[in-house]
Order: sequence, then structure tokens, then C-alpha cells
Amino acid sequence: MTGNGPAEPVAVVGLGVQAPGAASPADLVETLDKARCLATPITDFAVDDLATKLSCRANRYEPERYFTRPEARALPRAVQLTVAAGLDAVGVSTEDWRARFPEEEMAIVVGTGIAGLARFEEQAEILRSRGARRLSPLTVPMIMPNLAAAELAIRVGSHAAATTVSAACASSSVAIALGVQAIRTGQARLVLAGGGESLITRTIVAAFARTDAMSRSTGLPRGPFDMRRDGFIMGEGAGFVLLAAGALCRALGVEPLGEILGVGQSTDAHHIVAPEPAGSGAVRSMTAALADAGLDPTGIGHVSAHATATPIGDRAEALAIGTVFAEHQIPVTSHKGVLGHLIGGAGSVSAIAAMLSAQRGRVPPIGNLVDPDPAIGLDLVFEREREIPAGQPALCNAFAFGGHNVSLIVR
Amino acid sequence: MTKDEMLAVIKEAIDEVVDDVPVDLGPDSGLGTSGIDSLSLVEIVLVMEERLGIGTGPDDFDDVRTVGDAVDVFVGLVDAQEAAEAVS
Repeated sequence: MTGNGPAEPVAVVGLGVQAPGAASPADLVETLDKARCLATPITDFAVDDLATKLSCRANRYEPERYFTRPEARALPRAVQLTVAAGLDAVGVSTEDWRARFPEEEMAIVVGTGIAGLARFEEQAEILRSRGARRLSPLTVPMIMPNLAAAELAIRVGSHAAATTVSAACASSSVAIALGVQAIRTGQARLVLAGGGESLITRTIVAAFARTDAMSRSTGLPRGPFDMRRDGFIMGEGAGFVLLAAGALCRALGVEPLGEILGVGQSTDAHHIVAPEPAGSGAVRSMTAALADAGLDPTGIGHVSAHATATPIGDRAEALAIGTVFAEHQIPVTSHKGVLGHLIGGAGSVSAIAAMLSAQRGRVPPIGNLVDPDPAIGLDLVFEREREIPAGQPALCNAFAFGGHNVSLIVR
Repeated sequence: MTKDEMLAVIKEAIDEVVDDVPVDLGPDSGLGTSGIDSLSLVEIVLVMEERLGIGTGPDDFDDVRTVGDAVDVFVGLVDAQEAAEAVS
């Protein structure tokens, strides 16, 4: 993205995760290592007439750790998960970030696909069935897409720009890409970047099922790249990285937890939902990220694929990975077989997982991948984890409805 | 429902909606000084409507300045509803 050769890596000095089976980065590693799909039957609403009946809940999230009872009552779950993960990313580096980064303001970039739609759905039903006077006066602020960014700014007390970006399932990866850009251009020296989503509602699950992107399985669905894959399971969650300029870390003696080495973005400009069949957009984002990091494909230790387990999406991504990495046998994993699809939160959570996998030199297996699709033709990590040289960067993809493609290179 | 009983119900509703409710919240507590702004008051009224099974009108709370004022309004609304049910 810089266009002038590799840029300096951007330091990661804080991490925060709220996801199925994970209320911390350490939980995330443990959960992915187990490779057990966390899908459970949906019980919050009627699913009799829905094609999809499973979801993956952020089942370790503890609202009382972050919010008072009135706050938890008012804030939509998507925003709670997002703010919680954001606060954890700030808190990992220090309980008081201002003490650790004196003289700094913290820019905030939050990615979300549909944000407060669950609350909108609830209030629309109240309006329909009980009338206008029963609507909550907080309906408007609680459905604003920028609510999480505003809440985070209030809670961390930062007066720098707090921005919201929406790119469907690539939203939080776009947020990280924008955060990296802000640091590289000197716009900011400290950026909290990531995003989250919670869309396990009757309308949204029914609507996604109508796109044919969700699994219809009532038992455990087959995972990404499986011969019998039939779509994703809706998950929920959020992930954040606290990014800092390398010079700032050096000046203050802050030891980074990881690095973002490169970012690449592209758009398919092909179809509002379907990926370009040959994966040309994905090739562009991966190639751009490699160039941005100053790496060739042999410098990558593993790929964390977007791979949602849709027949067409996995196939297009596989073609793209094959094109970029050619004869270099690159281990490929995907986290959605375990976590489900976190929509706007998927990119950042997977980027954090990929960063930790790269550091440990252990790639977790793809959950519920039983019979690899022979048409995929990749070195898929399944059944058991794969050991790779520790410290080799990972390439992490996030793609989205709308044709948005983001590739991040992390270590 | 007595005023004391209503005060207990409304304190619970306030506690559900508002952070840092003063521990000595009582009938003489001003809404503004108790952290109850106009949006919070609407939320509290929604919670009270649920709890009491009553409806409220758009002007019912125009003159409410204290917690005690709100107690009086809700006691009046409950009494009116019970009277209406007795007639029907």
C-alpha cells in the first residue's frame, strides 16, 4: 500500500479478544488448538422455519467485568463485545495507558458490518406491536454504527479521532489496515484498531440463510475446505490490537507483543455477494500485502484463510492462494470451523490468532475438516496442529460481501 | 399500592437504568441531582409500565421534579387503572 517498498513494521502493544470459547488471546489459542467446533443450537428465538439452527456464542464473555448493570441493559451485545475487547487491548499494555504513553492521544478505528441491527430489530417489533410510546429513547444512539467507537473514546478518555468503518465481513481488518496507515503516515502514534459483531438474531440469521451462505446442518457442520461443506455458522465476537509507532516504542522502552508487517486491500468489482470465481481480488490483496511487507511468498510461514466453508468462496480463495504461493507449499488453516463466522469481528480475531500462531510456530487445525475437497489443492492443516518455524510471518485474509478483500501480514 | 411500596418499586427501576444512584435516594431526592436525565426518566417510565402493567400519557410526568413526585404519579395511575377495572 505504500508503493515505495517495504515500510517499517507497526508494533502491536495490546491485544483484546471476545469470541466463542475465548475471553482473552490466551483463551483463543487454547480454543483453536482444541479444534472443536463451538456451534450449539440456537435457543434465543424460534428457528423452526429457518434453514439454519446453530450459532457460536461468545460464551466466555462476562458483562460485569466491563459494564454496570444499567450499561449492560442499554448497550447492544455487539457493542458490549466490541468495547470489552477494545478495553482489554488497552489494558493488556497497561492499566493506565496514559501512564505508559504520556503525551499521546489514542486514535480509535472500529470496524463493524451491521452494528446495532439487533437493537433496531427489537425496537421495530416494539413499535409494531405496542406503539410509538413504548420505544426506548435510546434507540437512535444504540443503533448508530459509531456507538462502539464513541463508547471506547469515552471509556479510554482519548480525544483523537474515533472512526468507524464498515466493510461487511472484512470490517475489522480494514480497521487494522487504516490504523497501520495512520501510524505510518504520522497521523497518529497510537491507534486502537479492530472491530466486532453480534448478529445472532432471528431476522439476520434468516436473512443470511436466504443468501445460501450459511450451513443448513443440524448436526455439526463440515468445516472450511471440506468436500461436504455447505456454508458457515453464525458466530459473534470482537478483536482489537493496540498499534504503536516503532519509534514511540523504542523511545519509551515498550516491548511489542507482535507486529503488523504488511497490509493489502483490493475490491473484486464483480458481484455484491459472490467472489470473483478465480479469486483475482484475493490475489491482488495478498500480493499487495506481500509487497507492502517486502516479503516474497517463501517468507510466509502459514496462511490464515478467510474460508467460511461456502462451496464457492473457499474454492475462489484456494485458487487465489495457489496463484500467489505457486509451488511453495504453504500450510493453510482457517478459524471458522471452530469459531463460526464473526462477521465484522472475523478479520481482527483471526489476525490476532494468526499472529500468536506465527510466534509459537504452531498452526491450529481447521475445525470439522474431515474430507478435504480434492479440488482445493492446498496444504491444509487438519486433524492435528502443524509445527512451523517460530517467528515466520503469517498472512491473514478477510473477504466480504461487496467484494472487499484485506490481507494482513502479522508476526 | 401504598406510597412506600411504590417507592420501593421505583427505586428498583431507577437502579436498573441509572449508574451510581445515591444510596440515600428518597421521596425528596431531585431527579437531576440523582443522575436521572430526561432520557433516563423515559427509560424508567418504560420499566415501570412493564412492572405495574399500566400505560402512561405524554403529559403525566411534565411536573415531576422529585422521586416523590414520580411516586405520586404512579400511585395515581395504578389507582385509576384499578378503578377502571372495577367498573368494567
